[in-house]
Amino acid sequence: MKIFFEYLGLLHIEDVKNKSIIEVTANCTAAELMTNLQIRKEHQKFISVFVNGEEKSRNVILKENDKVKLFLPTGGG
Amino acid sequence: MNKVSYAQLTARNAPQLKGKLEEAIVGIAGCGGLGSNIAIALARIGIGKLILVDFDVVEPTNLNRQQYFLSDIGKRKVDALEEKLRMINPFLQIEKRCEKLNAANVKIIFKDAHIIVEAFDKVSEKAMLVKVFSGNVFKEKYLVTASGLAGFGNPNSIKTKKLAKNIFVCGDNKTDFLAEGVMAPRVMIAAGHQANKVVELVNKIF
Repeated sequence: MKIFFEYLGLLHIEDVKNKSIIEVTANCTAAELMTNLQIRKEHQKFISVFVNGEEKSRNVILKENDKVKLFLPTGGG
Repeated sequence: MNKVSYAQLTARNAPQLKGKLEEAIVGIAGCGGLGSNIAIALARIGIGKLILVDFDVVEPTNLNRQQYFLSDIGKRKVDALEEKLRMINPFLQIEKRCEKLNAANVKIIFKDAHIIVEAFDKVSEKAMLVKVFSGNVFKEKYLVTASGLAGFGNPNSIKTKKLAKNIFVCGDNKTDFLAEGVMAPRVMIAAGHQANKVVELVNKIF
């Protein structure tokens, strides 16, 4: 299935264009998406997941055409 | 001290904000570079109440970006900041908490806040506060967070973006303080973005 995928902050994902439509397996969770994208475990624990404008847990099951945003803040304040 | 009225202090504010700012309660999570600048901006325009939270004391290394003076070194940040805010706006209500915020106490400390401003240093703390908003507890509140304000150069890369219905992020989303350092000019730009988003939200809420 296809989702619209965006990432912000410190995240840099090889071979995946930001703000693009990507193919994921059916019933894929956000956690599985992060693992499949080879996002480092130490980063995953600080990533917030947003689906269709709402913050969700990493166990949320993604659906066709969902707008998925991953946010890993950069430090400094 | 000269006596002033609230009306005089806010006389140059945007007219549509009249009667709104004094109703707003804003939580400031961290009183460092971002938090001290944001608190002063909001005090100047007549915000009703600030909840200041920081566990730290003022150190010499803070002075390159935080709104403290040499005479503040060694003071608790919440105390030093309160002094300055009271010199600007005597009508401001201030609640101080000298403690470290975590996923449990943040829900208690900020329970009355309409808007919470994330002004931490560390990625882990920033992430913690954003994640608090994933539950139902804070679904009626707004969060204005920051990401990417380090180094120097290109001030126009710092933007305000909507992350979710009630969460906004200010910054360039790239620069990190460990690699590039943090200095007053870009920190103040990001703090200005955050304070401005608070004003927009106050105008929307009230």
